[in-house]
Amino acid sequence: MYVCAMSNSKLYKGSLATIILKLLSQQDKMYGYEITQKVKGLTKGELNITEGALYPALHKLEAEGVLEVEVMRVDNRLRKYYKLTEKGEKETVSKLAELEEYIKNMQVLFNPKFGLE
Amino acid sequence: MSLSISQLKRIDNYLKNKGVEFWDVRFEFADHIACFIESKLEDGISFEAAFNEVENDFTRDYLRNQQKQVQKKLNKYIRKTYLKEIEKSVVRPLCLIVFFVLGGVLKFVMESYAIKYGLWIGCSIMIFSLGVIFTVSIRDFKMHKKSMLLNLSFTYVIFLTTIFQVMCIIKEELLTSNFLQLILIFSIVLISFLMYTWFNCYSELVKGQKKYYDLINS
Repeated sequence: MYVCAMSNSKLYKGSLATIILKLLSQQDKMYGYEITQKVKGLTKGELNITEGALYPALHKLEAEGVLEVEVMRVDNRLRKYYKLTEKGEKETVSKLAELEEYIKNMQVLFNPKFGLE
Repeated sequence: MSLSISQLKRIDNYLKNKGVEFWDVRFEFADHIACFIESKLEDGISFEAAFNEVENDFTRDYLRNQQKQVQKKLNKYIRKTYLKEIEKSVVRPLCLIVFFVLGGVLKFVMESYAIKYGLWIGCSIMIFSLGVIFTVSIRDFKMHKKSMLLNLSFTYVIFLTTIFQVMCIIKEELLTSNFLQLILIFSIVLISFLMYTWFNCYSELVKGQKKYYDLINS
């Protein structure tokens, strides 16, 4: 179990909300542990989202009305599922566009070709 | 591989002992830990070994810090829910009619009889609203006491109602002009409106929590 903020780098921290939104846009609903495992699986263990970073981010998005929760009884315990609200769906589109723009700009700034010139 | 009820109970007790006192905060942590232990069991690691790992990672300080973060977000959520309730009530015709009628009645009583009667009516309305809120919160006291969301919103109730009771100590001698009387009437109507919306917001929060509370105790 990982308790540090995020295993790789602080660079990922600013993208955590976008990562959550993106995952939830692909799946109807997800719970906390499932999100951490999904990210770990997709990045082949390169990126580990810790519960210390994930839950505050999920609660923040919930308080902002971007996510809504559904609590269900699973295996003798309660499980809190998160899903996108209508506002969340719009937010996902804009966040992804923002991230794309950011990546494009970073590529321009750090493009090796650019550096060799 | 699912955990047994006694193993889940052990996780819950561990969190309780480490200071996560509210069930609405605890159950999400408990589920996360349970999922982690289940994945370890699937890898062939024993429950005890996995639980030891949990004990090393989820220390008292760490959990308290997590709980504080949840509290911050809940505060924000409560305020947002309240503002939404105000927005809803402002456009509700019946609600507006009631408050215009209340204002009219107060004005009529103050002008036709005496200012003190108007003040009495205003105070009675506020004390009545306070009574209703307390009744609702006492009805589900056990759940209220153990839920961080309701605990926080109840703190807001106490805070707001304490401010509102200041209205009850206004003296008739201070209301010398028509303008001051109008301000008083407006304040009584506004306060009644805010308490009404707060009551609605609080009831909604209690209803939502009750659903989960019943689920957890079923």
